[in-house]
Amino acid sequence: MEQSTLTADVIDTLSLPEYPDLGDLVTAVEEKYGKRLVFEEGTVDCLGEGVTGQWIDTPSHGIVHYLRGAKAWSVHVVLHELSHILLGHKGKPLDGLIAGSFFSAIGKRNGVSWMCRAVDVPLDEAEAAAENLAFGLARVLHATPEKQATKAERMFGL
Amino acid sequence: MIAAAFWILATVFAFRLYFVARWGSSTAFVGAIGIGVLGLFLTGVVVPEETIDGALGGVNFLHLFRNLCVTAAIWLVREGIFAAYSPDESYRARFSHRPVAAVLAALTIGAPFLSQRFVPTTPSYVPENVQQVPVYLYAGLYMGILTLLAVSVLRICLRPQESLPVRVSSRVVAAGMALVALASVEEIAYMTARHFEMGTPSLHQVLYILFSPLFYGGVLLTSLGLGIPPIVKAWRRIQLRDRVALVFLTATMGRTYWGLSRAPWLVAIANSCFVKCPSVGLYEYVIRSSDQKVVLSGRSTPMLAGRVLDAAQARFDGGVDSLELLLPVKAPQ
Repeated sequence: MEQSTLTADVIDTLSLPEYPDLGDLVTAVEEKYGKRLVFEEGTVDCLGEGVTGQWIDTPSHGIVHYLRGAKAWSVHVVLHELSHILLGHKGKPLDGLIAGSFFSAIGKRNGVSWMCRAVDVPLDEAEAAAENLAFGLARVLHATPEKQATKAERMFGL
Repeated sequence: MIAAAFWILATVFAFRLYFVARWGSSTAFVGAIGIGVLGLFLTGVVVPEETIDGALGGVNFLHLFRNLCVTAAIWLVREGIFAAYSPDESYRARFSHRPVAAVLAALTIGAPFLSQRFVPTTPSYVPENVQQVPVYLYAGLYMGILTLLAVSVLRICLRPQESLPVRVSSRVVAAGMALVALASVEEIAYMTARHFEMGTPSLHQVLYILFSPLFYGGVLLTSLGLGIPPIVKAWRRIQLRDRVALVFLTATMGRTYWGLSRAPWLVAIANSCFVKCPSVGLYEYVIRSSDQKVVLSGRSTPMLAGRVLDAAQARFDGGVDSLELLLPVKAPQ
């Protein structure tokens, strides 16, 4: 997936250290979001069939649910949800029809909206943008410092 | 063996030059390798010795030029290795006498050569003329200087070195230099036996036959040793392992994961070969693989593709640990 200009611009706005970890990234997103984020591991039963992650925006804080899986993949799901926040997505308003399972913990409150990362339906524009940014954030997250060559290595042509 | 050494060293020279021009690599061994290539070229591997020597006057000057090239090449290898192994610039003090020493070495080899009774071009120049004192001195001094240089390089190459590619390269060069030193000593013994008419003809024959495999085997090993760093650099630059893994995954899983039809799939395979950063593509496959497990929980991945994916997964902090270890759940305020 090519890194778009939008992705690069958004990453540039985050004041991240040279080689950030996930904690650094979450802190930077919370700063832009202006609210705390809560992370919760979910199951297919509570997230829904084909749903790998969800972001619920409440007036006081944000909740990120991610499906349990391989570590790198779960991190990617989190990055996808963080990307929605960074891209300023508003999400769908919470209504009574979808208020089950995990929503019950929040209750039907005004000003609550949600977005989810589903893998069984084609991505719409917002989901595609979030996925693109998630790949961009992953590149930043998985970047490793380049090992400095020793004098002998340089002389030998390495 | 001489031809193999020539072509290997010529290839190493071409790669080194390319890396210097393209990536600003060190020029430390480029001169040594270039002169070494010239020295091996003068053995007649491409153009017959008679033709080259004919152009130089037809009295075996080719022999002198070739030997001076070999001496200069090993001299420069020694200097390069000294520079690489020295922690600071203090090693330069040991080379402060370099120009004088180089001229002295060349004169030491060249003066007896110029004092000989010149004979027409011959491929067996030393065996046929070793009875001449100047020829014996010329060849003996050349081999003696070469022995000293080779032993000096060998000693430096055996010093401790933390970098694995440098260590391997040095050890192979050291093995090459050991053979060159052995061949040189053996050749001095042969020439001495012939000059003073000691030993039997069969001993002379054995000593004569032994020289080429020892000497050019040493040159071959030295060429291979100096070729190791460019190979390692190229391996790292093109990220060969990741690239092969990406091409393999695109070929085996590309159609399943991305729903590609035949033509775009073939294009994707071709693109995988030339993509700038193959690890980015591998990461996409790792993510897609887990996505597919959510959608198609029943479908299995081919065993080999699964192993490649597992290896890539491990690269990106894979495993089945809970993310909570990485990101503690925070209580809302």
